[in-house]
Amino acid sequence: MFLILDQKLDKFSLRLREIAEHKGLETVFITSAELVHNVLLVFHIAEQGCNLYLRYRDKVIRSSDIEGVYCGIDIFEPALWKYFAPKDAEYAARETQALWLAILTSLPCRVVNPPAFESLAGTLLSTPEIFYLAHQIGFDIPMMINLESGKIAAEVLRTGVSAYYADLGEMWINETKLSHNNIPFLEQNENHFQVVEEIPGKLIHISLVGNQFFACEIATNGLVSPIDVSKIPHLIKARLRTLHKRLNLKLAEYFFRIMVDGTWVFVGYIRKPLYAITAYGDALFEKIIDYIVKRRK
Amino acid sequence: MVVLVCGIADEEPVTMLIQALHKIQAKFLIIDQRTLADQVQLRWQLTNNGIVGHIKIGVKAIDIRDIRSVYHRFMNPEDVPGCNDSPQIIRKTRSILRSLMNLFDILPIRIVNRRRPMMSNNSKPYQALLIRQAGFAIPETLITNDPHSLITFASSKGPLIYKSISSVRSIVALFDEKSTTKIESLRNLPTQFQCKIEGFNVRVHVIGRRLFATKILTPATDYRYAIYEGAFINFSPYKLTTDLKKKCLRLARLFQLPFAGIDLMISTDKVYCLEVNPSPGYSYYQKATGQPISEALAKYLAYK
Repeated sequence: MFLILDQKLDKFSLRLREIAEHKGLETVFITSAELVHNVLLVFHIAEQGCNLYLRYRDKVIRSSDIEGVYCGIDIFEPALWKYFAPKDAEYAARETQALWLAILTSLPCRVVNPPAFESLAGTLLSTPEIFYLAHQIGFDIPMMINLESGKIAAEVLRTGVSAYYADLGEMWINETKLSHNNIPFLEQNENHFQVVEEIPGKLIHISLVGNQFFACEIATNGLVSPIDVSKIPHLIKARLRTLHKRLNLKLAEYFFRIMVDGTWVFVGYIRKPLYAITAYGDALFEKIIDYIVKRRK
Repeated sequence: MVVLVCGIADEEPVTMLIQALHKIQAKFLIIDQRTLADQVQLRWQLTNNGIVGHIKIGVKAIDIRDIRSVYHRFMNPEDVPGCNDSPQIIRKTRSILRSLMNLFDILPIRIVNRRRPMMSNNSKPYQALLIRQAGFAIPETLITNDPHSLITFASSKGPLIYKSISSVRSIVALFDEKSTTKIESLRNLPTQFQCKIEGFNVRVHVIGRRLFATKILTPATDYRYAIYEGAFINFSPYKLTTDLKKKCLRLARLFQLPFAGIDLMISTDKVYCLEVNPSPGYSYYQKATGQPISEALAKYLAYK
């Protein structure tokens, strides 16, 4: 059985399910809301092993039945417990997150991506963490500065540097592209800010499914086209394999800018290969499914 | 080179560490969470050449390269006891905390402890899976929202306790099979049940390569709440076997925690590990036994 767990049935997970079914795999898709409200769950941790038993609609799912899992759930939001008081909903969300971290970790099959403490959908590093890791591995990275106030951030941005900024005082970090309209807002803000330089150059996305590379170029008009993987420098590929391994990811899309002088600069990553899907279509979905359920041609 | 001590300056684990750093004559600076918004400013950058910058605490500015090590025990700005700061100050405090913690995540020095490994405590069953790898016994556990499965488990496994799955603090309590209302409420949220282990508790503090073990004797189910139950509680230093010492060190290494509070339950035939605490409130044990935990922590931070 191929199990798909996601926040909701979006385009990506829907197509993943369709193609898995087309390949003859028994496929079960469960959203996070259904996991919370419509699944009977028994998770047993013995001294030597673990057992999972789920009952969902008319299906019984045991850990031994599951051939592979795709999980796109980052976190269980308290809003899923509509009838709970806010504090109880917060508690329920934390408990459920903790439970599913253990369940996904305990499964003997491939879980893509392996769950992480901060997200069940795989390692999700903060901007400083991912850039520092990339730098350690040998990639060129954009400059990232933490500044003591919006006023200082505005002064830096006034120099004409092209950048993204984030107010570190907000509950959720939101990286915003700088425009001159933002400067008056920044000048009055006493919070600490993070500013990341925007790198000019050709935008290349490289996806890894296990150890297989898929690359595409994103043109300035948004057009996505596949590129021959053999054109990626060997050093970039080797470093990317290291990064992928250090992040403990099995499926991810990494972003690079190629500057005028030919330097490749690492600028970020996502854990769903969205642009590669646009470039490669269903062939990539097939590769993902084959990788998860370990079916190879 | 200085040790940075970050947290609420009058909180006991922080106070005891400050006293110990004084005692060993280590150079240190305090970043007090209560005065972050007024006193602390950071400016640092990460480039292809590495990390550079400074932290200003009051009138004193220190170069990031002069930080020898960091101990941090911050709280969410909203949760600081007695805090009645305005939302604006809370946001400013949060922004400084974020900048500090982002820096501590990547600075290549001793950090007690790094934020990411500390998150293992967010899931007790996840921890149990790791604990098992380190060679400790773990209590048999059932997590379910199915009353029938719980009753079957309880009838075959004997007395059970229940506790939270996540790091949300809960009082460990004995499960009462006759409480049908409670059993039915299980349908609202999966709950964690464990076989009750008979034996005595030992808290082991690991600091680098040093260990301090404390035996706790009490009839209470959760010794942290013994006084509320009117039960007696007795703490005493405990001598670990060489094998147990090795296992505790291996466990702390596996969890990537240079400073850890390991909760053991020693029964007649096995040593169970119940939990690994990544931010141990060690002062509780030090006060009860006189074990020099804060001094060991100070020495670890000062490389002495």
